[in-house]
Amino acid sequence: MIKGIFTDLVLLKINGGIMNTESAVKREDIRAYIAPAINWAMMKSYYLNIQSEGNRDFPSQFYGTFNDLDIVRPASARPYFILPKGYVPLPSNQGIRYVTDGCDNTYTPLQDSDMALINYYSKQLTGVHFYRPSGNQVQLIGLPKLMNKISAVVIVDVDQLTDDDILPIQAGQEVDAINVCVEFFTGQRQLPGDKLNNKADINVA
Amino acid sequence: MIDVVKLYNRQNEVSKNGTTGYSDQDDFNDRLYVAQFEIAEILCDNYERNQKVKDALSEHVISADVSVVSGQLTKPTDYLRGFEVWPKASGNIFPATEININEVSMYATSYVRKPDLAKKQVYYYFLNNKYNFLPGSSFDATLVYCKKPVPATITLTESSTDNSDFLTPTGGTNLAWPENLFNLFLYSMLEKLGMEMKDNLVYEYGLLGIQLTTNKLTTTA
Repeated sequence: MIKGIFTDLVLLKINGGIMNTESAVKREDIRAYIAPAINWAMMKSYYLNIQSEGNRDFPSQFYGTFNDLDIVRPASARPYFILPKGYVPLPSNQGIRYVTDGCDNTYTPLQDSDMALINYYSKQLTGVHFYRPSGNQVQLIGLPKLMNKISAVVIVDVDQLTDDDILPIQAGQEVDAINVCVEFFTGQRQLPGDKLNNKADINVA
Repeated sequence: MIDVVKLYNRQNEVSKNGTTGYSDQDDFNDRLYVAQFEIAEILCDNYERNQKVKDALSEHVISADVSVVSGQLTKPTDYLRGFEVWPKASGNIFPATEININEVSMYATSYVRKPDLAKKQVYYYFLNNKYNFLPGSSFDATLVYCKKPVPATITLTESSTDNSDFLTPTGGTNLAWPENLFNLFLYSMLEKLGMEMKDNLVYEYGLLGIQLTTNKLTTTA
């Protein structure tokens, strides 16, 4: 389901099928709340998948691939690259699905607890490459010396999707996510003013 | 189109104007001017209520391509009531929301509703007799509004014979309204005429007629 359809479905439900510019809840309000609702639905399906199948994957159709990202090599810090878009803040940085280069090296994610042992890992595990995200900057450890471009596959943050982008909701979870949004906005005044002229609104006798 | 001469004749027939007093063409034209604005206001207030009202205002509700310059749009000279503004991006329209003055600063600083042309989040408010937009950018738009009624006029030409004086009405400009509003205009003219002439019967008849016809128009079918 694309973001634009999701937004308008919520808007229609909240306004009882009426779409006009007097509606108290606007598309921009719903767009702002989509990310929390989708993240909730993603986590729910993630844990359901683990419970039922032991599967920690997300549907790969939601993955966004960024190729040929420039690697920056500062003089006194680890090499890094910048992700052009934010990623979904899933536990254990799973919003970044993988990092790979053009030589079939797939980089291994490091957790907080691994960082203290990074010196040990990099010397003992030669040929294994690591990455460690910090915001949109992703540090690279054990990077081949000649490498200057890299690719990353991420689940893009819902806030940064356009209305025509597909939302990362697993099939079957769409209704839940819509209902979460509807519930949040229910109770707000739906058609507060009669600035236009239909005299059918709640403040007009 | 309502024939102004027919309206004049009908008004005189109902009010027995010939025996209750005399009003010249300027009086008639002035009353007609007031009646047009009065009826336009009543209909504008109910524009979206039903098809009857939309049809009644069909000659007056128009759209115009306009350019918003630095967030401001001067109202057209024939502007009576604004209905909607549709900003355009790449030739396609998108919604703009009217906000009140006490909402402007909140919208301008809101993280959710912050005005942003690229995100198609555009708001407008009325200040200094202009449309003022958030954000204060320049863009093309379509303005939908009700235009002012064009004044309709009649000319009365006097002529006399040995025994009688006559007034011959000729239409200058007819009323640019659908003919099914003829009665509403007649009642409105009679109400004003009745008031001018202190003629209770004409006044009450006109008032009752206005109520009946506006009720009919605005009752949702």
